Amino acid sequence: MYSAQITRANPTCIVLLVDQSGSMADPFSGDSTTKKADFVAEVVNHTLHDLVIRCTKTEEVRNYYYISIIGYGRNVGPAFGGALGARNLVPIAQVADYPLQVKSSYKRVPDGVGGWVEIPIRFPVWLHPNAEGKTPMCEALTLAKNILEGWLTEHPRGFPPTVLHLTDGESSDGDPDYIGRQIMSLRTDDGQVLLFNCHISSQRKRKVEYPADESDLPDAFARTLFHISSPLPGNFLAAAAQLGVQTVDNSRGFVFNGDPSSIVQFYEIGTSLTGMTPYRWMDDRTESESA
Amino acid sequence: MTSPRKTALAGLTVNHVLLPKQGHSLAECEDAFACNPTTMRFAVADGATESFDAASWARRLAMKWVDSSDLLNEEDFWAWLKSEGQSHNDSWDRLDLPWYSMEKRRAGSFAAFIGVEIQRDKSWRALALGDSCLLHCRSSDVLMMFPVSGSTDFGSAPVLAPSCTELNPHARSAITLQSGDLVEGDRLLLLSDAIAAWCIRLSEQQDYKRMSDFENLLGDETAISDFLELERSEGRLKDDDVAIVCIEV
Repeated sequence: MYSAQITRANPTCIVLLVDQSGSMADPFSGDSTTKKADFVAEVVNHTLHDLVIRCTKTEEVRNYYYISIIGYGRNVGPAFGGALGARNLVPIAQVADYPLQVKSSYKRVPDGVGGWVEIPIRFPVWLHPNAEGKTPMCEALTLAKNILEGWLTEHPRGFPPTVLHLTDGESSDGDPDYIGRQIMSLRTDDGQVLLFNCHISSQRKRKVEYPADESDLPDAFARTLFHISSPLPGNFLAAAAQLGVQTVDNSRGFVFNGDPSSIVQFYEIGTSLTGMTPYRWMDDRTESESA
Repeated sequence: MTSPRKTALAGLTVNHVLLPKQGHSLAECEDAFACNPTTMRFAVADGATESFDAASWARRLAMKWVDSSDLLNEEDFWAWLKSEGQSHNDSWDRLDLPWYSMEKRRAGSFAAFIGVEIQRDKSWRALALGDSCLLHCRSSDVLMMFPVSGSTDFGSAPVLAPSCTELNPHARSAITLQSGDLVEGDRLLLLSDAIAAWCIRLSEQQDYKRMSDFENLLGDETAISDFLELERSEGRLKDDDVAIVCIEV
């Protein structure tokens, strides 16, 4: 299970489910400058950048992945903009070719003779921050399920799709347990669909990362998200270990009361798939940046 | 598709094979080999699939190394690698690359490399960086495997030859050297990782017949291709590009 080779003939699907409710405009605890929505958009953009780079063969991007971004808040629907707007599922080569914009900046690297040199780097932007409305989590999960059912009809044997769901609050349109379990019951010949959940908080509360049981969870909502979080397959556990994240054999893909570093790790682990080395994009943070 | 050749070089019989992954064309193969009868140098390089322009970096390393002299110590090889890496990177010094190619290019190209030089006295000296291997075989025995020590050494992330040496200074200390002496009938096999792991496993299992079948088929394009495809389809050989140079004294 979870060992199918990801190829152009056997691609996999990654769904990014992003809470864009009004509360995402609040800052993180202890940080009055960074809004949750801004940080999440940045991490999603870096995640897409990483996925594109993994699929790049010199001048070509190979369609190993098909990507869906679903935003939910005032509206529920595809969050790609520009030329990709309103599309539920986009092959990674088209993701690569149609960002909303490409920002340029510089990175300092060793020059090989003891000094440093600045080299240009590029940050494409696909997702702009958005924070409006309530938290229609069930409607968003239902859209994800519909997209996955279509995908699985056409790709019954590939590496199972992964759903990375990020939220900062409780569902405003009902209990997500049923629809979450439905998603987790979908499968390919290589295993069940993986649903991972990351809950982030504006308040300074104890975070729980990748638990194997419910004993440390603070309330019923946390337990609901735990129940609809898939156990991390071995390849993902290995990726977590590479990032220094503590897990055990039955750890679920679930974070509660996460902080900014939890978000970065959640997307890195969640896109590690078949043992691919997580791309350490945080190392690319720049000294200067221009749009 | 495969491209075996048999060549007689200064008293040596040399067979070489290049076989891409299943479903890929020879043009997509990221392994490379080179042989030079003048310098008596032979090399195999295995471009890292996930790196930028890995195939041409592997070809450059193999072809340029066999055409050179010296470069059989860490200091000289590292300086040469830096120079070749610069030339390789500069070959992409264009402005019309899409953003993702420029980003990928930033990290440079990587390849495993193994090169061997055979002296007039039939001694050999080899240099390796990565998990491409040399096997020194006598009769049905493997006298030496280099730079690995067993089939379980494969599968981790080896340190490879980078085109951006300045970004990967740690790779210098991963360069290793080895030497040995040949007698009539000995074979030196230069192998990229998947086929090296397969050969070493056979040696560990003392499966001399299969190893012998393999070596006997190296000069026959269709036969060796069919043999290796069967090993792949039965799960004994990992479906990866294959490069083989077999030098028989």
